Amino acid sequence: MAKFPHSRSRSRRPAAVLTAFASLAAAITGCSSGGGSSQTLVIAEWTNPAAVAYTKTVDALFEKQHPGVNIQLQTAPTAQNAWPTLQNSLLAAKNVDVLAQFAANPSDYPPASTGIKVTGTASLIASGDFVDLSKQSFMKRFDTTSQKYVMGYKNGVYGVMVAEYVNNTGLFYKKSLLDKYNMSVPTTFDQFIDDLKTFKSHGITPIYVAGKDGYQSIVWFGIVNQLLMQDLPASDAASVYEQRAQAFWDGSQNWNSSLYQQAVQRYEEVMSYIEPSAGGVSAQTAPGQWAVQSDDFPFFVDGSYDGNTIAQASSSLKFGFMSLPGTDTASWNRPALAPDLSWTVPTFAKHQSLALEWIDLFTQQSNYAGWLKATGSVSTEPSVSTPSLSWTDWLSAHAAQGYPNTTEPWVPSSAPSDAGGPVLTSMQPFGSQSPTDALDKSATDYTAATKH
Amino acid sequence: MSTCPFGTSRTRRWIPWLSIAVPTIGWLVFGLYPSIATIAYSFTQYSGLPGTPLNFCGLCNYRTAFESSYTDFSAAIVATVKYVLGVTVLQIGIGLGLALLLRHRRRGYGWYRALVFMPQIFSVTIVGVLFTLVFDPQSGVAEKAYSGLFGGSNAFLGSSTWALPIIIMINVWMFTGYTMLVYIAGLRAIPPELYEAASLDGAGRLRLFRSITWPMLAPATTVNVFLTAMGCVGEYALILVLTDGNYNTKTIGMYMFDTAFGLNPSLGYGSMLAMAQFVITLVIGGGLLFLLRRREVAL
Repeated sequence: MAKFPHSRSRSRRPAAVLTAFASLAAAITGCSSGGGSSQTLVIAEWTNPAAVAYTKTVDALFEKQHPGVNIQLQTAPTAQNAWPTLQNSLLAAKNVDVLAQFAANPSDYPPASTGIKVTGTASLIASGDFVDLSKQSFMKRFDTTSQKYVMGYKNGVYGVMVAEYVNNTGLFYKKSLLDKYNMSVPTTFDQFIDDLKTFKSHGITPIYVAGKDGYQSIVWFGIVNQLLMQDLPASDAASVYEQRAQAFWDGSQNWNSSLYQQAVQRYEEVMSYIEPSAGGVSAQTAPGQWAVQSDDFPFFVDGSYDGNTIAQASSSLKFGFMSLPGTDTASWNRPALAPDLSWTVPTFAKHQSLALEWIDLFTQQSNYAGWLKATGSVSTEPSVSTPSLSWTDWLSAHAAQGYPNTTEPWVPSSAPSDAGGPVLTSMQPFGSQSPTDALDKSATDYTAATKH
Repeated sequence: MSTCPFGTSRTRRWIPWLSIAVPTIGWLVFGLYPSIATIAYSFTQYSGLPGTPLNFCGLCNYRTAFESSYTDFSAAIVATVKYVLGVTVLQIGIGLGLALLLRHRRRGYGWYRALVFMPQIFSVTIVGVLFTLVFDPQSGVAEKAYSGLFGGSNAFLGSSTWALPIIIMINVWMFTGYTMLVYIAGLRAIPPELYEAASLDGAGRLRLFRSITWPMLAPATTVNVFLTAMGCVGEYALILVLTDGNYNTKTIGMYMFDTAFGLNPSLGYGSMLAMAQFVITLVIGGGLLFLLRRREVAL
């Protein structure tokens, strides 16, 4: 007698269960088991409502042009680490064909002599996880130097940067309030402070900022950027930042140097005009709240990526966007451009050629122009101009004077937060730490972290 | 003939093994393997991003954390201790008070007990959104109450002074119902004869509580204190949705989560923090159990 004499009906039962389970799993995961030529192109990007909506438009166009191809767009907000979690899951499962990345930059690759290990996007590029796009025809649409600056590594370019915003130095203003008090857009720090004083004297709280999520850093980094770059050409940015990183590393400069003393003093002066409970204002609600309070808060510290959100929150609001004037020299107060969304194709992507075709379609002039209009991004394709929206008059006129945003000195990833500069939520007016103590602590922690 | 409570004679041989195998495999895959991996990762500078190198560095992460100038680690320990102490003391006190009030089997009491227990069933995300709106300094109810009572404004969750106490209060609001239920079960297990005898001897309410209720609740207190404190040591979800660890609210759990799974992750250092969290849990949990059980025996 056989040890496990299965009857015919019994042997069918597990098979039926397995089939049902497989069907259910396929339905849940969205995989198509039938259909022969059907392919699913997986694209992932973080949640920026306008960007996601426009990506869906390109997806629909791509599906129309490629019958049998189905696009699955995966999104997650950057808040509360939801996006890194999604990204890591997709990378671990090797289940993504086009992956959005925050653009890297040269300082993400410190010299080997520092012993600092690369992290984030740079570590994925250095590990060979992304396809080199430098030879792709669509790369000819972009400025090679700026693409190399952000996504270049050794001789390749591992992503295509399609979005760039003004983050640090970003400042929205209400045209009606400036007009009411006969003010023009301030171009120097002194003019800016005079305007703030005038507003305050009329009982108006001058500045709104999402302090709960640390958006006051826009002012700090904005001033530091402008003091570092002065009126040097944008092409010098990489060397300026590298020299600064080297100076920090060899100890000839630190957070107590005069430039940072000056920056912190200006930062504190600007902060003395913010809404008193700004520490509790979240970044998610701030653009809408600022938009609906038309007779208060003439200035709003925020990046240009929120321009369209503000416009949607209050269609009647007349507002503009400018670069915060952090110095007394008007020509230094240029916008610092923050490289943002860059499309990459993982080397393990199952549909690599389709992924490249999708990027090609996305970056075609007409589609890219639509993307810029939807997101308010600064153009990275020289043949497509930065669009004129109701709030981008200043930006359209001055974006060309912008330069890549400054980067941090080389800091080991496990270093305390102070090593990368003062922790603004701990420093006055948000915390109890005095500016002098904050800079001292940053200088000490940087020295300790780098062991010099 | 042997009796078999389930299955046929053919299946009874392998069903017990299968019953053990399923949870064992689950424990190996989801318990043991991640634990061993965490220990191993804590000796590396691994970013955590799939495909990137491990970079073995020995004890580098441990050395870094314990260097005196690395204040992020010590600040996280201080925040954790404040959080654990604050939540445990308040939750036990309020839970016991509510249990004493609502222990009776009277009409309408069940409704109040359900009301106190209800926040426990809400997800952390819902609670986070709810209290973010309540404490919004522009339009929140708390702001209106604060300015009405004290004048001026308060940043609440964006204040280095207020953020941690507010999160402690929200945690207590969420989980006091559970503490109350454990205490009610404990109170109902106390023989009424003890109270009757003590009353005949002239004991007042305070004396009854001090000499009968509180000592007899020792096992319930052990359970409540242990579970509350252990739950708080690893807490990060509530902090994540309310302050993202800003404004002096970065506990060790939050610091670990942020370091290991943030935008520029460092899983190696994060794993070391997880090991530190494990040791803290062991020390606090072991210490509490030792003290509370000794108290039970002494009583």
